[in-house]
This record gives sequence, structure tokens and C-alpha cells, in this order.
Amino acid sequence: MKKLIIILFTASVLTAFAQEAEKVKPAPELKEGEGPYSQLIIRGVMMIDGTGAPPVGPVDIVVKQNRIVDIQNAGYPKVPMPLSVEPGARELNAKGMYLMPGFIDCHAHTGGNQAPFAEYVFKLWMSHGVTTICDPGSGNGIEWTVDQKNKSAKNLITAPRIKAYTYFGMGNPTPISTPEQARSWVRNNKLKGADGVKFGGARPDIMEAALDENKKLGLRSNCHHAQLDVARWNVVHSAKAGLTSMEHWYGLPEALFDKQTVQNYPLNYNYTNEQDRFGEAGKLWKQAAVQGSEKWNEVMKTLLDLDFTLDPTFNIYEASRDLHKARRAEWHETYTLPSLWEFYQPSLVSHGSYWHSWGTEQEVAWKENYFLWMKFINEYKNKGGRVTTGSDSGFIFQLYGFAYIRELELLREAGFHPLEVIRAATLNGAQALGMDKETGSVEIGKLADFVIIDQNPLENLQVLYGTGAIKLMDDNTVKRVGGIKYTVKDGIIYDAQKLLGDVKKIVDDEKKKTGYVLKQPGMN
Amino acid sequence: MKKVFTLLFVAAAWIANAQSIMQKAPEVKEGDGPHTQLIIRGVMLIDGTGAPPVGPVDIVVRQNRIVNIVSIGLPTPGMASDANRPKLEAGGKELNCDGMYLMPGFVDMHGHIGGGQAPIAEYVFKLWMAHGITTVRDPGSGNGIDWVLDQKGKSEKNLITAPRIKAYVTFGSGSKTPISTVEQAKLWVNENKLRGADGIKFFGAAPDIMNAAIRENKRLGLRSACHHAQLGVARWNALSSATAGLTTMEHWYGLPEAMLTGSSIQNYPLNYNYSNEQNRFEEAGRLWKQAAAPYTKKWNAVLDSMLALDFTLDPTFDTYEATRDLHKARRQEWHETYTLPQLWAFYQPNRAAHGSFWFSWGTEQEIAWKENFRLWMTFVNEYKNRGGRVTAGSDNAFIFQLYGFGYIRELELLREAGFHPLEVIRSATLYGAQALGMDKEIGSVEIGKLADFAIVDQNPLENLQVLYGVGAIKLMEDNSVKRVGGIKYTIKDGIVYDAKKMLSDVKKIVDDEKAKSGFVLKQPGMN
Repeated sequence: MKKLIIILFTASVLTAFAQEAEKVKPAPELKEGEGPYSQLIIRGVMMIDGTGAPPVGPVDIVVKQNRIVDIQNAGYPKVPMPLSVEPGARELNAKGMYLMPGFIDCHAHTGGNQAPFAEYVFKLWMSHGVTTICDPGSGNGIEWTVDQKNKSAKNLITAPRIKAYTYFGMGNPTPISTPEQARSWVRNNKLKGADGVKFGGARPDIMEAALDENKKLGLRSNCHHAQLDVARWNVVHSAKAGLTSMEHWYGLPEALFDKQTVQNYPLNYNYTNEQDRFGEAGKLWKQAAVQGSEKWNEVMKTLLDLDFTLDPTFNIYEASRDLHKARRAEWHETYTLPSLWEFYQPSLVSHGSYWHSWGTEQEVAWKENYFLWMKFINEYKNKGGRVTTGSDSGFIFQLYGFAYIRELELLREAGFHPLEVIRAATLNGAQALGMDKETGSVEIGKLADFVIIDQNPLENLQVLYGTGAIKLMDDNTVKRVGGIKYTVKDGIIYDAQKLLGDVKKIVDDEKKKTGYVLKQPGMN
Repeated sequence: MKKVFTLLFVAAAWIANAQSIMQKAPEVKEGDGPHTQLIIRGVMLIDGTGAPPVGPVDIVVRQNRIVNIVSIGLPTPGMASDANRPKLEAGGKELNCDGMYLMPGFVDMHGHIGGGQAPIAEYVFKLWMAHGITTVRDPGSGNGIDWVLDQKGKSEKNLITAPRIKAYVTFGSGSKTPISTVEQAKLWVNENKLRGADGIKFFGAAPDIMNAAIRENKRLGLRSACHHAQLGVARWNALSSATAGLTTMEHWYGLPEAMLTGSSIQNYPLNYNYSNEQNRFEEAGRLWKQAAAPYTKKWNAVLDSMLALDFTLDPTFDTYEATRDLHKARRQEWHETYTLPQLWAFYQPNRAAHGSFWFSWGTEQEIAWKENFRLWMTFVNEYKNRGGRVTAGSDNAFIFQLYGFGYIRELELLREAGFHPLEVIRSATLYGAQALGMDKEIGSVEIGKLADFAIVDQNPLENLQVLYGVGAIKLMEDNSVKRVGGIKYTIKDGIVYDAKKMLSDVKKIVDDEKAKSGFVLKQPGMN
């Protein structure tokens, strides 16, 4: 969502990015969590392994240091077995709980001015089971991101594993205007330690050269095909040129045009006016080829054949179809930083704050837009395509971690079986990031990254929210149940509710500084 | 939504029903007027018939009737002529509405006047009036027919601040024994008329009883509505009722059942229990998928049959919205300010309260309901497209939906179903009036009709959300954020009510109730 397209044109903004790096406070180097252990046994848990296999359990999972070394049947429903594994150095009683691979957020901006504490962002992710993220753009600067990545890799900080993708052109002294400049920037990007490139669109020969060079170097890439270049370079062009994943929806309906070649912009449209941009985007899927048509099938097949990855980030646009819901999500009062709340507010300047006059008409159009978009995503999955889970939080009233769970719900809404949702959140993400040898499923030999919860997340994905899910008990009292209990990363056990408590404290402290009270837009 | 179905079986409940604990509206003259002459100046008119906005116009009212509507020129600078503008007479009143929009007063076709969960009529009436609702149909008269007729009469004379009321009585209520024969049914229907009711609210019964009661009621010139509850729908659905002469069907009940294709009974899980409301509403979320697909033969046949009978659909989409998004419904921003403590308590998950079926309601149930809504809306929209009458009813005070606010949400949901905003307004006004048999008097802005209006200083067609009492968010040119809209004036019978004043009266009632017990609104399961 970063307003990165302008960096392709305005060199001064590049400098702004560099300055931003100093504003976002890196996570404190503080050992938290318990472990890793010479041996850790997670006892009696129900396992959802992330591959699409159904739940199975109870099982005992044995971890040595940070690797899974054994997974053993530990009985049958209601029939416990004698210990399948001898008592170990550390035992975690997870009887009746569910265990999944750690979640992967494929579109995770590590804060920015709106949330300038990495600890806040990291802990919101970790408390929602996110153990790996891809920062699409490394907006805090590639050096900053690589530093946090390395510290996370050594568990010096409490943070998910990080993949650092750099905004194409970021740090270059001049705008990139030739294929040679593009290749040179891409090579230099690798030298800086980046894992990939985040594109926003550019001239076709530049996109072609950059993608080619990047792939040759063994790096990965993703792209938000912003409106300014999509008429000449859409998702299909990128996929053919070797892009790893497309982000959001941009560039896909445009690749599906069969009755026009340019979006039906009203004649007074201005891309810099974000109500124009997002208002018209809500009418875009209706302009694309319909499901089952020749064009639809052709684009679908092309992308499938290229093993292309779709990272829809449905949740970040949800306010477009229901602003009231998004701005009144019940976690804002407790977990949203004042600076982030301010950033969300309607503004002619802030990105993603396009509520100039957003009402019934825009929301209803976006509902239909979602319906068509979701059809493509679901069919792509049904035909064997890879769909991943990305949140793009920190914009548009969507909060880190919480919004990731909302993304899971929206994949469910698109037609995914809950097991397909979990696979999108785990193994598919690992594949897209080139990490599936190490993470993304619960299998012997892989890293010990887990999400553990005392409810069945398949029956209700909402139990994964930090605020839990509503449950009416047999005695007619109402409780919240769930919320992730343990997030395990690299064999280290984190108390997810404790992490959430830390987040609350950060927010409380910030509020105290100014006596901040969260208010709804336009209310005094 | 009233849990009255059991009334057909449990006599004791009727007695409880009649002993209303509902506090009547105070007899206090509020509002300004009526006037010997009232001129509403310079307003944009949406007349409720489906005509596009036109203006500016001056609307002249004498006492409570529209006597003239004068176009005062093209909206071009310099073209407006003062010469043809109606002149203010001595003792008359001018209301400057330059740039505002005027619509007929809204009709809420499904407006229960409170109950134990909102036992203060003033609270309910003012929430409605503050949202432009000048007529309601109470489908069941749950506070007792005498109570409702009392309030209806006082509203007619404007002794209280309240919408016009049509009192429909729950079939069988007040009867000493359950109605089990056709003769008993006919007798009850006749007595109901004698008591002064405007119609009957049915929940389903044995086919011969339904048939006889609907026909006798129609013969007497009264109207009727039916919620075709699950217990009776296998043998008497919405089409059966329409054929017998029912005026309106409420909600969706009985409609998918009229179009089942792969079966003749809803696919109930074998451990279903109708008294378990999670069962009831969860399975309802899977019901439209069991009906004939849109535009198939059976679907078309049922739709066309209803059309031929001039049948009215009153979907009340909004009261089911929590089923597809509980989080949204329970976090609506007006709850903290305008929801009574006892109403909030009533909404909470509860095995005993109606519409509080959140035993374990999550992603699975919500997504099924999203699909359910989509199929349901397709039918309702096509019914409208083929000329059918669809009305706006809110059924509020259940399932986290608040009086007035929920009605505006209903307008948004009609828009979502595919209605043009002008079609939405027509459903909210003229079509409601027609369904109530009041269209000679209200429902559109025409000379000779009663002066019932909703006036707002924004264009409601561009954004129906400007009709909410809390207004709509608007970013100003200086990058500051404001709320705009909220209805400005509700006019009933030529009396001008300040809508925001009524809303603040509501707030005071809520504040006072909260103060009594130190109530703080909390989300379900949060301490």
C-alpha cells in the first residue's frame, strides 16, 4: 500500500525514505520467551500440519533446539495412550489444543511513521501466530530491515523471521530510466542483503530488465501494479517476465479486459486524489472478463502455468465495503497506537485515508467488486494455483496481527475450506518466499515454528483474534474463548497473551503522554 | 421477530402479553405547528414516486395538508424568479431549506413498539421520528391492542410525539383458548376488527385456519402480515398465504420454502431443535441455497405468481445483518450513546432471549449467511424489477439493531440488493403507504396529501448514510473531518420537529437509565 509509485518519479522522496529509517525504533534486544530446549515435547495436541491434511491427534511433537525431530501418535479420541515419548527436558501440556505451523504474512510493512515502534508491530504479529513476514518494500530502509532480520534470525529480539524486499529504485541517486540502470540497481540490491524486490510498476523495458536480472540472481519479487503503469504492463506481463507474486488485485482485472484496454476512468479522475483512485477501483472488476469466459480462462491458465503466486490481501480493502465496521473494530481502543489512529483518519494527504465522502454507493460497489475478485482467487486455488496470506496492515483501519486473522476469514469467504485457508497461511507462504524446506508445515526436519490455541480454529477462525471469540456457556454466561496461547518460533515458546499485554502497555504509555482518547472520525 | 409463535400453544403467554410494562409516551406538545400556512422554501424534492429530484421548489402546507408545490426556477444563477414564489401570509411560517432535500416521511413496515427490552415508548417513538419515520406498523401489538390503540389515537391527535401507528394484532392473542377450528378463527378475526385493530400479524397455523383467517380478515377490509415460522411452513408457505390474500410477507420465512427443489422440507440436521435459536438461525443461513436457483423455472414461477397477486415483500434485511457480521452489528457506533441498558442486556448472547443466538457464532455461520443474503437479495431485487412492491421494515430492538438507525441500515441494504436510491426511497415511502392502504393520504409529496416529510441538508441519494442520526463522515476542503447530515426536520401532520433535538431527548433517557444503575456498555464476554 505504500505510496511508492511516486518514488519512481520523485528523487526527493527517496531521501524521505532514508530519513524514515531513523524514526522507527528498532525492537529492544531483550531475550523473551522460553527456550530453545535441548528437548521440548508438546504433548497431546491436535495437529493441523499446513499441507492440507485433516486434523489428527492427539500427537506428541518432539523438538530439539529449533527443529522438529519426531511426531508420534499419542492415543485415540478419548483413549489416552501410555507416553509415546519418554519425558523430556521441557514438556508442554497441550492436551485438547490445536497446533498449526507458524503463520506467514506475505505482505507485512514493519511500521513507519504511523507505528514507529518495531516492538509494537512485531509483538502484534507474534501474538497472532505470525512467525515469518515479508516486508514488501523495506520502507524503513534496507539496512534497518536487514538489521532487524538478522537479530530476529538470532532471536536477539522478539520478532518473526523477516524477508526484506526493497522498493525498486529505493536508494538510487537518480530515477531509474534505462534498463541498464535497472539491472545495476537490482545487482546492488542483492549486495545490500535484500531478499527481493517490491515493484510498483514501471516502463515495460525497465520492468522486463529488472525482473530478469533479479531472477538470475536468485532473488524473489512481488508487485503492486499501480494504476499509472498498468495500461502497458499488467500482471500477465510480470508473470511472464518472472515475477514471483502479485500483491492485492492491481493489474489483474486489467489483464482480464476483453471489452476495453484502459480502465473506464471518469474524465475528471486524478490518481493523486485517493477517493478517485479507490472509488473507481471499486468498479473495476465489473469491467473485466466474466468468470468462465475465454479471456478469463486464458489469463487463469497462463498464470497457473507460470506457477505464479497471488497474494490478495483482501482485508486491507475491507473498509472500502464497510468503513463503519473497520473503524469500529473492537480492538482499536486497546491496541491501536494514537499515531496509527491519527494516520487512519480521513485525509487528503495520508495514504489509504480516502474517506473524502465515502458512503453507501462506494461501499455497495466494493461489495460487488469483492464478489468478483474472490471468484477469481477461489478458482485459481481450485485449479491448483498458489494463493498466500498477506495483511498489509498499518493502513485503512487494519491493525497488525488482527487484520491477518481477518484475512483468513476473507479467504474463507472467498470459498476456501478452513484447511485451505491454513495452507494458504503457512505452506503456500513458505513456498512463495522460498522457505518451504525450513518452515510452512509441521514435518520432521523443519524448524519448530508453531501456533497453539485451545480452541478448534477450523470451526471458527475468529478464535485466533487476540480478543478471542464469543462463546455462550452451558450455564448461559458469556465468555471469550481462544486467542492464541503459544507462538513458538525456533523452538522458543512465547506466551501470546503476554505479548499482547506488552502491546497494550506500549499503547497505554503513548496515550498517557498526551492524554489521548480515541475518537471516531468527525466526532468531538 | 416476536417470539409469539409459542402463543399459539401456550395460553399463559397471552396474559403476560396483555399486561404491558411499557411506559406510554408523555402527553407533551412538542414540535412547531401545525401552521395556518407553512412554506418550505427552496428545497430539492424527492417525491417518493420514483421521480428524480427536482428543485428548488417551495412547498406550501395548510395545517396538515400539502396545498401547493411551486418550482421556483432553474438552478441557474439569475434564473430564479421571486415573482412566482408563494407569498407568506400573516401568521404563516417559513422554513428556509435552501439546498436541502425533502422526502415523504418514511414508513417503517415492521416497527415493534418496544417491549421489556425498551419499555419507554418515548424512547422508541423519538428514535423513529429522529430518523424521519412518520408512520409505523406495529406487527403484533405486543404491548396489547388497547395500549397500542391508545398511543395510536394520541398520535393521530398529536398529543404525543410519535409516528402514525397501524396496529396489527398477533393472530389468536387475547383468545381464551388456542384457536383450533375454522370457526374459532373467523370469530377471532371479527372480534379483532371490533376491537379496533388495523390488521393481523400471523406466524403460521394449520392450513385451513390460515386460509379461513386470511380470507375473513380481507373480507372485513383489514390487512395482514405473516412471519411464516418454521413450525408451520412445511404445509403453508408464503405463496399459500399470498394466494389466500395475505397483504405482506415479513422477513424471508416461507419464501425459500415455497421454492424448494431437491426436497419438500428444509434440510434440518437430525439433532435440530427449533427452541434452540442457534439451530434455528444457523440452519436458516443455509436455506436459500436449498431453494431453486435464481432465474430457474420454479424461481420464476413463484416470483410471477406473487406478482400476479400484487403481493408485498417486507424483507427487513437489517435485522438479520448480525448473522453475517456480528462484530459490526454489536460495535455500531451509536450503541454507547443511544442504546438503553436493558436493550443492550437483551441483545447479549442468551439461550432464553429471542434473537440472542450467539452460542458459538463465528466465521462459518457468518459466511453461510453472506451467501444466503446474496440469494435472498437477488429475489427481492428481481421482484422489484418486475414491478413488485417491496417495502422497508426494520424489526428493531432485536439482534443489535436499534430503532431508527436500523431503519436507515435497511435502506442501505435495499441499495445493496440492487435498488437505485430512488427505488429505495420509493420503497420507504409510497410502497409502504400502499401496503398499509394509506397511499391516498401519505407516501408521496403531492398536493392534497398529508404534510409528512423528512428533510436533510445533504443529498441522501448520493449517500444514504447521511440519514443516520450520527451523520456521515465528510472530509472538508481544508482537510478537517466533519459529520454531515442526520435528518434536520421531521414533519408530521404539518408539525415541524427538530430531529436532532429528539435525538438528544433519546440520549437523555439513556443517560438517566444508565445513571440509575451505573451501567457501562460492555461487549459480550468482556469484563
